[in-house]
Amino acid sequence: MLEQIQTNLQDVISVNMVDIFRAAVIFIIGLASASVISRVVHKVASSHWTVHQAYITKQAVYWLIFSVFTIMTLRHLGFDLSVLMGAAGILTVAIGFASQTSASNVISGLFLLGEKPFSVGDVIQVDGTEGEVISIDLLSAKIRTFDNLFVRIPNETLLKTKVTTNTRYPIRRFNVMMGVAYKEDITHVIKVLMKVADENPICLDEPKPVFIHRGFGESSVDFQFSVWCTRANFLELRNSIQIGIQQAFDSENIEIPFPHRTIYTGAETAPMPVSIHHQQESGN
Amino acid sequence: MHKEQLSSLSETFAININESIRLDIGPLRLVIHHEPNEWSMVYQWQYEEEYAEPTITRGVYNDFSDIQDNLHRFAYANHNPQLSIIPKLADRSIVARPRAPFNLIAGQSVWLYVSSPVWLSVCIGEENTLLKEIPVHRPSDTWFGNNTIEGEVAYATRTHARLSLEEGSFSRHRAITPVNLVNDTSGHLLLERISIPAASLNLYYDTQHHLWTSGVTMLREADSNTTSVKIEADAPAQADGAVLLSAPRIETQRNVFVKTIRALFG
Repeated sequence: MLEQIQTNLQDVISVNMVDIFRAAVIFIIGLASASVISRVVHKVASSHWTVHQAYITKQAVYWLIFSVFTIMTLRHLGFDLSVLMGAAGILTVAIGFASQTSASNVISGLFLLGEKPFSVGDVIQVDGTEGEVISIDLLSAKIRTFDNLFVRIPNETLLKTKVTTNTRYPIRRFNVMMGVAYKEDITHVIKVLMKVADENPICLDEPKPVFIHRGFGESSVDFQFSVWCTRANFLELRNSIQIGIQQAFDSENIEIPFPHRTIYTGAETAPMPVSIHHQQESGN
Repeated sequence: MHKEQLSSLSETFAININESIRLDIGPLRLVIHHEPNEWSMVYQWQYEEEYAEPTITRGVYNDFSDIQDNLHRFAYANHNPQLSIIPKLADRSIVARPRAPFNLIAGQSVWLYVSSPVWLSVCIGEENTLLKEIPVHRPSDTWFGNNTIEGEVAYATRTHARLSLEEGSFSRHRAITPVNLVNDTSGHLLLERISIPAASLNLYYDTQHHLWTSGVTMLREADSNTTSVKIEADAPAQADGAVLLSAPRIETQRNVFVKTIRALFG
């Protein structure tokens, strides 16, 4: 019985120690070449393509060379590859069902690679998460938020949802939404706003600041004042322009009103009595 | 305290240990203090009281509490008292907007004088080791491009766009760029703004203590949508006895380049 099994095994895998040694050498050469060639390709690709593209190319080259040498090794060991391929086919279907999400992420990653909506170093907003992209990998993109949290976003999510890239263009606009009291002269308000923008050196001279009247609110005349800056100065402008506006309004006595409520006690009732008391300063 | 007029914006001073100088140049007030193994400087721009003529005041200023915001300290290993200030042109293009736009009549050529603020390089030692560059006036940023996607960040300046050189019409702390505008087309050329490639120009000093840049010729060619810009290699003829102060920040291989018309004029 044992002899029979041994003969069968020898039929299936007719190898000897020399073949095993040769196969091992081929496998080691394969590993080394895959590593070296993929690194060289990565170096060359980095100077021409984005970090993401170079990384994917490196991975593709590595696994291609590795697969070729693995097949060569198996052939050298006497494996019948047609049987192996059949088994691999069935295995692939099984693995495919088991790893639908991963496969979806890998394919989404490839689409993102072609579309290039952002690169490493860009600041993006996805599903309420805003931060700097630190890597784009095969399955996910990694983001560092401004409060220094590490967020992993699957590539599939990036492909399905709205992604805003803040750092795509060199300049950005900041919208100040505010209102002034109805008693204010709106042309004077516009002049004051334009002066604030003009005196702020990081506020771009061109494109010009824009004043947009947004209607008559409950308590104020509402408007939008939009100013431009380079994207590096966005946060600084956001602070300095609003502080500048408040200071200018204070010095020009322009009122930014609090919400007003007129209380009406009904047609049948007399108006509510209101009395104003002036407190006299002592010593006058 | 001894206050005197500064004859030139390019000067070398000897400031011993525990001594300081205060420079008042246009809106800029710059105080530099020398301590053992340390140079410190503070500066601020005060537009309420601009100094038409640059002045230097020697003395000891070590109370920087009123202008603490821009305090900079530099440590070094020797006690060389030599300090130099060297004027430089802006590191970006300057977009000059005339206070009122004007038309250049067809077939005409005029000289236009555009002034722009200079930066001061504060250097120490024999090797002129740079400590810091400070603009005499911090110009506003601007965007110069056909749209908000393509273009370049530049500095904005308002200019009178003078067509003649009148005595006293230019500040000592601004560099004058003579621009030869040539309109070879059959229509008027409306000039709303003009881009001066400041980073590619030489800076000169004339005998009248005025700062000049290399001359620039802008030629709007007939039947073409492009303008050629030529940077003159020599000092401008308008600057008497011009002496080179600083070389361009960006060395351009060619001194003639062609740009689309919208990229140069508004």
